[in-house]
Order: sequence, then C-alpha cells, then structure tokens
Amino acid sequence: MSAVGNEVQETYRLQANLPDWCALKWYHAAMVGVFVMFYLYFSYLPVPVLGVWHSVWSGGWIVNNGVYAADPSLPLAEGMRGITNGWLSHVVLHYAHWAGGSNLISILFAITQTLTLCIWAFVFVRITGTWKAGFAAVFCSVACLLLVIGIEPRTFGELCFALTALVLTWNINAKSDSETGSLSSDVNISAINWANAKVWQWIAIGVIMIAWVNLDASFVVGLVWLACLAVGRLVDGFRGQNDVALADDRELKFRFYLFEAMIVATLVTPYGWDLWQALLWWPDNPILSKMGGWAPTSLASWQGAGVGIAWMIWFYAAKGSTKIPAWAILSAIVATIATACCELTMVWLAPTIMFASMAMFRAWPKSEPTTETKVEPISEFEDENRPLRFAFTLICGLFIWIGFSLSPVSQPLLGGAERTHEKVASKDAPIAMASFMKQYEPPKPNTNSPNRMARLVWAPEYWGDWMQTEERVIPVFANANLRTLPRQVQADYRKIYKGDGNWKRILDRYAVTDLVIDKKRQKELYRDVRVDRGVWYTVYQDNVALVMRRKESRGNKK
Amino acid sequence: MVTRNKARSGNSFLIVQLMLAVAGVFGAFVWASNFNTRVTMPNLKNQPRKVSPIYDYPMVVSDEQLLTVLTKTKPKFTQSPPKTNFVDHALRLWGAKVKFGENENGGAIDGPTMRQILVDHRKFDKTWGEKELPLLMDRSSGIAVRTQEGRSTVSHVDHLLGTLAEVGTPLDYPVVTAQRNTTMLDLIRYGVNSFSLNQREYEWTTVMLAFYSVDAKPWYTSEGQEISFDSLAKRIMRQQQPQGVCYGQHRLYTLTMLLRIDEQIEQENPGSIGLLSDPVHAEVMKHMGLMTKALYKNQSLEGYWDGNWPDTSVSVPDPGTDALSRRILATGHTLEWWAMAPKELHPPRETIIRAGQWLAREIGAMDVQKIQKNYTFLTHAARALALWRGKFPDEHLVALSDGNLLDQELVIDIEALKLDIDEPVIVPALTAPSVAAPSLTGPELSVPSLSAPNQREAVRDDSLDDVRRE
Repeated sequence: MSAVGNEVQETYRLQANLPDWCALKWYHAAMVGVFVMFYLYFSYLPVPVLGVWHSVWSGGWIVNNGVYAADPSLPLAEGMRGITNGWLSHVVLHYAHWAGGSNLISILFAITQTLTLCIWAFVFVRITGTWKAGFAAVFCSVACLLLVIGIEPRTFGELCFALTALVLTWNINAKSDSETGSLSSDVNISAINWANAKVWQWIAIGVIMIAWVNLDASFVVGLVWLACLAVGRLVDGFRGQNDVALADDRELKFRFYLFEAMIVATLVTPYGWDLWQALLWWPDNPILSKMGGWAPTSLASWQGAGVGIAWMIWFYAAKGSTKIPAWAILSAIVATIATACCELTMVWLAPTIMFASMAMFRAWPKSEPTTETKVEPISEFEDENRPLRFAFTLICGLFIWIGFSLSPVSQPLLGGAERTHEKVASKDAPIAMASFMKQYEPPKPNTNSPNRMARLVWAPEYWGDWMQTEERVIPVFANANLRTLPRQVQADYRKIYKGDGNWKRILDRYAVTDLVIDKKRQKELYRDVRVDRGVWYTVYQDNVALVMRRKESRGNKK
Repeated sequence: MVTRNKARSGNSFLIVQLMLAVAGVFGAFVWASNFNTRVTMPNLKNQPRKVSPIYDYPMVVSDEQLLTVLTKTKPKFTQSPPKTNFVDHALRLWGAKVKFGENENGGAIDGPTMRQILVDHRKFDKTWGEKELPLLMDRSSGIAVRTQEGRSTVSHVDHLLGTLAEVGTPLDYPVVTAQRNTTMLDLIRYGVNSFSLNQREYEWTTVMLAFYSVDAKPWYTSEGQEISFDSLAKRIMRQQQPQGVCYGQHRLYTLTMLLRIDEQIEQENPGSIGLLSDPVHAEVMKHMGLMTKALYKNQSLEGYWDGNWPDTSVSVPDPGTDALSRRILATGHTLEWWAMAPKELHPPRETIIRAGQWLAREIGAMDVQKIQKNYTFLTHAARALALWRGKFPDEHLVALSDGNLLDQELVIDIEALKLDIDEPVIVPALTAPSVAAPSLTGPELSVPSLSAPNQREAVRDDSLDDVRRE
C-alpha cells in the first residue's frame, strides 16, 4: 500500500473518543448480563395472589380514613391489638395500582428489586475496590429467590437497607487503600468511617430511616445492624484492636450517635411512641409477626443452603483478613440466629453476611486490583493495537438495551399491547371470581327474621383481599393478616380450609354467609360440597373458584 | 493534661452510653410489663348475684300442676351412680340448699350432696368409684371440668360453672380435687383462661361471669383478645337460630340474664353503664324481640315449639330424636328465658299460658322411664314453670308443703317466706296430687281467644309492640 493511501486511511479511521474508564472488561459485561436477566425475571414474575392486594385496597382505605389499628375487613379480629405495619407501602401500592394497574405494580417490583441489587453491588465494589465483588450482590438475590414472590412492604424495606449501607460506606476511600497496599490505618481497612461523615450523610440516613419505619416493619433490621456496628466497635476497643484508645475513639462515638439518632428517627410515624410500644408487645408482637414470625429454616432447603454458602464466604474472607472486626462477627451471628427462627429473615441475612465478608476482603493484605489500577495509561500505539477494547462496553450496552426492550417498561416507547391484569397476575389468581364478588349484592336480610345475619365471607386467606375495594370493604374470615386473628379462629380457619368433617358446623358457629372455595387447593372441601350442599347454594362458579351462599331462613312467615 | 482530658471525656461518654443502655433496657422492661400484663379476669365479687323471678301467673301453671311437675323432677335417679350431667342439671333446678328428707340411697338427692358430688372429689370418688377419672382435673391455669367424655362428666362447656353461680356458690367455696383443696375461684379461673370468644359453647361461661360480675370493665383472653359483656352479647347474637346446643335457646337465656344483671348493676350504681353499653342493650332487646316474634308466630296449636321454632317451614335439625323430647326441650327452654325476661319481650299472655299448660300436661302424663330419659330437658321445663309462679323450685316446695296454695295469692312476696338462704330448706316428702288445669280466665287477665297462632298472618310490622297489641 502506498504512503498516500495509508494517510487517507489514517484520516478517516473511526475512533472511539471515550475516556479510559469506559473501556469495560468481560466481568463488567457478565455482571450487566446477570443483572439484566434478574431484571427480566422480576419483570415477568406474576403478581402474587397474597399480600399485594391487601396493600392495594388497604392503601386506599388509609388514604380515605387514616391508619387503622384493626384490619377493617376482619371482624373476627375485633378486640385484638394491632397496628398498620407498612402503611406507606400500602399507600404507594394503592397509587401505583390506581395509576397503572397491575402492570405498573409489576414494573415497580422489578425496578425496586433490581435497584436494590445494583446498590448492593455498588456498595460491595466500593468496599473491596474490585468490580468482581458485585457478584456478591447476585448471591444475595439468588439465596432469597424463593422468598421473593412479588412486591410487598418488605421489598421497600430491602431497598432502604441497601440505601443505608450505601450512605454508610459513601465516604470510605477504596482507591487509596488498594493503591498503596498499606492497611496499617484502622480507618482505611474499615468499611465504615462514620466519624468523617458529611452532614448530608447524616441527613440522608435519617431520611432513609424515617421512610423505612413507615414503609415496613423491617426497620428493626436496620436498627439492629447499626447497633451491631456500634457495639462491635466497642468490643474491638476493649480487645485493643483499634488504632486509638477507647476513650479517644471518635468512630465509636459517632456510631453510637448514629444509632441513637436513628432510634429517634423511628418516632416519625403516625404512631409515634405507640410503635415502640408495639415493638414490646408480647406474645402478640406485630413487628415480629410481620417479619415472618416463628418459622424455623430447614437446613435441607434452598434457604439453608444459602446460609451455609454465606458462612463459607464469610470464613473465606475472615481467613485472609488482617483484621476481623467484631461487628462482622456480631451481625453475622445475629442474622443467623434470626434466620434459624424465621426463614424469611434470609433476605436480611444474605446482604448482612456479604457486607461483613466484603469488609473483611477489604482488609486482606494483598487486595485485588481495582478497575482503576488495572486500567493503565494506554499509549497511542497500544490503542491502535486494541481496536476492540470497547467491545465489552458495547456488549454491556447491548445487554441493557435487550433488557429494556424485552421488559414491559419499553411498551410506551417501543409500542405493543399493554399487559392485561390477567397476564400480569399469577395463573391461580381468582380474577373472575373477585370481579363477581366486587359487584355481587347479596339478598338483603329479612329484618323480621330471627336469623338476619351480618355478611361474613369465608375465603382462603390468599383470596381474602382480592374481593376488596376501598369503597366497599367486605368482611372476610381471613386475609393476608391471618396472624392477627385469635388462635381459635386461625385453627377453625384451617379446619375449614382442609375440609374437616365438621366444616359445616364451624361455618354455622361463625355465622358465615358466603363460602368461597379454591377448587384446586381445597379438593377435600370441594368434594364434600358437591356431595352434600346442606344449606349452601351456588351463586358463582368457574374453573378456579366456587362461591356459595347460605340459604337464609325465612323466619317469620308473612 | 490534654490526654487526661480526652480520656476523661471518653470515659464519660462510655458511662453515659452505659447508663442510657441500662435505662433503656430497664425502662423497656417496666414499660412492657405495664401493657403486656393485662387483666385476664373480669372484676368478680365473692357472692354471686341472685336473679329472681319477677312474674307470678297462675294461668301458666296451677299449684297442683306445679306440684306434680316438681315432684316428678326431683333428683331421684334410677341409674346408680346417677349421670353427672343429671346431677349438674338437678342442682341447677333445685338449688344447693334443698333437703328432701329422703333416704339418698334411692331417694331424691339433697342439694348440698349434689353440690358436693360435683365439687368435692372425695364425694365424687365415693359415688363413682376409684376407677373413674376425676371430674375435676388440676391444670396449671386452674381446675378443669371434664366435659362430654362419658356418663361421669358434664354435657355442656362451663355448664357446671353456670350452675354453681346460679345456685349462689361463693368464690371462696371449698373445692376438693384429687390433688388438693382449693376454691371455686380456681374453677372460674380455668374457665376464663381457656375461654375463646369463638369456642364451641360460650353461653354458660357468659352466664357464670355475669353472675359474679361487678362492672362492665373488659378483660383479655389468653389469645390476647379484649372481651367485654358487650362483645359476648354480640357474639351470642351472631349465630343463626336454632343452631347450637338446645336449639339455640341457651343463648337466649344468657342474653336474658345479661339484661337482668345489667339492670341490677345500674340500680346498684346509679349513673353507671351497667353490664352492657346502651347501643348493645338496645341491640339485645331488638334481637330478643325478633326471637319472641318468631316464637309467637310459630307456636303449634297445642302450645309447644319444636326444634324448628324459628321457621316451621323447614324440618327439625334432629328428626331422629323423639318428638316429645324435642318439644319439651324447645318449649321448656323458651318458657324459662321468658320467665326471667323483661315484660317488653313477652308475647301475648295467651302464648305463654298455652305453652305452660302443654308442658304441665305432658310432664304430668310422663312415666318414670320417660322422666329419666328426658331428665335434663325436664329440669329446664320444671324450672320454667316454677319461675312463672314467682319462686325458685325449692321455695315452691316449702310453700306447697305448708298447704299454701299459690292460686289464692296471685302476687307472692318471696321475702315474706323469710327463708334464710344460708340455711338448708327442709322439705317433707311430697306426693303428686291429681292434676287439674286451671280455667283460662283469671282476675287480672283478659285472655284472647285461643285461635291457632299459625293462622294469625296479619302481623306485618317489625315492632314487637304490635304483636303484643294484637
């Protein structure tokens, strides 16, 4: 080729005019790919039958009537003490449903879950200084995969936890540690440096806590975690593990101040002191009940395996660490005990142990090179020889585009039909039955009858909220708040659900007027009803549900 | 110097934190104990209330008829040992003070003995033998009464407690179990601690608590549910009729007792709300009014009601049961609560008279075998008839044995009998006189014609007053 030809080629060659940090690596692309997959998974996870619909209708009820102590749709819970856990979540979901129906609820869930995942990944990357640590966040999601079934107040609680960790670790300096390799400074190796927190960090963490306490009962997790950070620092001081004497330790003081400030922040709710009172209720503690209650985790389960793997990572991180902070031990142990008592706590254990592990990875003598250290200045010559150095950046962009275009969020931009309620909801959702019940006006009771009965609908707990609207609350036997009912009622509910031989008598005892049967799950009861209907007659039936009504005694003859 | 100041400041920080932590934990403990330690029993008085009959209508049952009925329903059982259920019902009918003066081996059992069989394990053991499980079982939360577990046990949840309350057993009354000596309070404590608002039978627990109640203050069940007499009344009213035990009539008797005791408390403490709040009181009155209206409409030509008393167009819930037994059960229970109910809840007098006369005639015609078979139902019927004559059964026996025919005095002053309630009432053995129904006209009554109630279809107004006017 001639020299002139070469010149022309040089002049018109396409060049990527991007800063060096845009040259992403394979693991960035892999991580983006995994996150996009999670996003798509969350986007197409059916809206569950239980939980979310309780939030949707009770959010509307709260908007109109204010927070309630006793669930207005549960007459059998009358006299039981209670508070509205996560009232703000209910309101948010109510408005989401009002604005975009089930589709928007599904989108909100996918965005919130993915955002939480991204924040944890970002926090772990910041702590360790290596991008690969972002995969620890993926572990958090995978370990809780079976527990995450759809949006609920806890979803917002998880986001608040991640945000708290983000603000808490915002001012640590990842780059200097790894660059220098010097880990002599206690502050440097610690994942938290709250003594040097900026004012905005104090404000931000306070705002997050206020939001958290109103969004979900899991704010307790945040408080316990902050307490572990403070007490852990104190323990380290006693052990002589810190650089400074206990009396001079500013970090210790500021962690305690933070914990105390957050306690004060939790008072900013419509309940004020009453929330703290509810925290101490026993044995009918609404906070513990909302967190999952007593439901021990089986070791031979997905969650059990998750706990095992989390601890393996923790031990691996601790093994190579120059320092094991007491809070890392304390928070991991507390989270494990909590998970042993309640499997739902797994969603808090996974990020807690991962956070502790990442903090210990940070204290490894030879920290892994960060993105910044690996990206060395590239000469013009090398640039010419690495024409594909932005390939993974483009792949990341492609993944994000694929995720966006395949998800329901793209529908307003790219067109296509909006997902219907039937498509978004899970397959066993009683949509047609719920629609019937919302419109069904039962015959008015004869006021002259000695048996004029107030309406009470028995339906499986997971359908109890489906037939509700904020305008017309139908009294149901049980709903998502089953645990707030007296034990006897819960036991009788289960007997009816299973089609116990005495189910008719039990329904009589409670004066149930309407009976809704899940044909697929309540096979015993459905079979019994077909054999002997007794005083019940069918008012609605489809493939999913059977609705029956009690024949009203004519009472006085006219 | 600076170092020392720093150390001092650091130490004071730690001390303050420690103090805050201790104060927080201690404060939380004290605070929590305040609202977690909740009242688990209503306020009770040692001596239960006495709810006396308020009407004396000789038209319902004559002296002779009453004497026959009472004689036939004396606690004289052919089976030995007698069923605990029978003793429990007999005690409620006759009270704990009655003395029949008969040989208890085959004769009528005296009131004190009946009560002893039920609350003293030594006596129970003597009656039933050592092989039988005790009636009273020691539990951590009190003394449980074995229920529906065979002949030696009682038949209704907390019926024994209701009986003991109605016969005037004080809270400090000695109770002996197989393990220890205790008091009536322990029986009640178990009943209250194990109570659930939605349990199988709640009527007798409610009656018992109402009899010992001091005020309307709520309490909490072991399930953490706040209970008051208001909530009990609402619960009782919710269930359809004639569902439940004894065709739902126990519930109506319980509501009647709540109304009466509510009135008593209001009279004792003027200005207090009584046992029920005003709205619930009104609701109970309305509910009971509808029950009366249904009963009025559905009375048979002969004067009885059957198991389908709320709606005669449907079949009775237990068609396998003997018809006479069913009718005595329904009619006896109905007359019993009407006898204690405020006048506003009564049907026209004729309805009551016809029912009373039917009962008296049927019981009068029953042989010993039938009496024994239907004994528990008959105790309600006999008690009802006695109450309609203004006294409890044991008081009638005293009066009748003295030869004071009640027909001669339409209004009986019970106080005039000067019975010392702490002293046993000794009644000589009686024989049943021949039964003669009174004429259906009385000095104070203008009885309407005895046309069949089912033919009276004209009443369409909701108001019970209209029914009564009719």
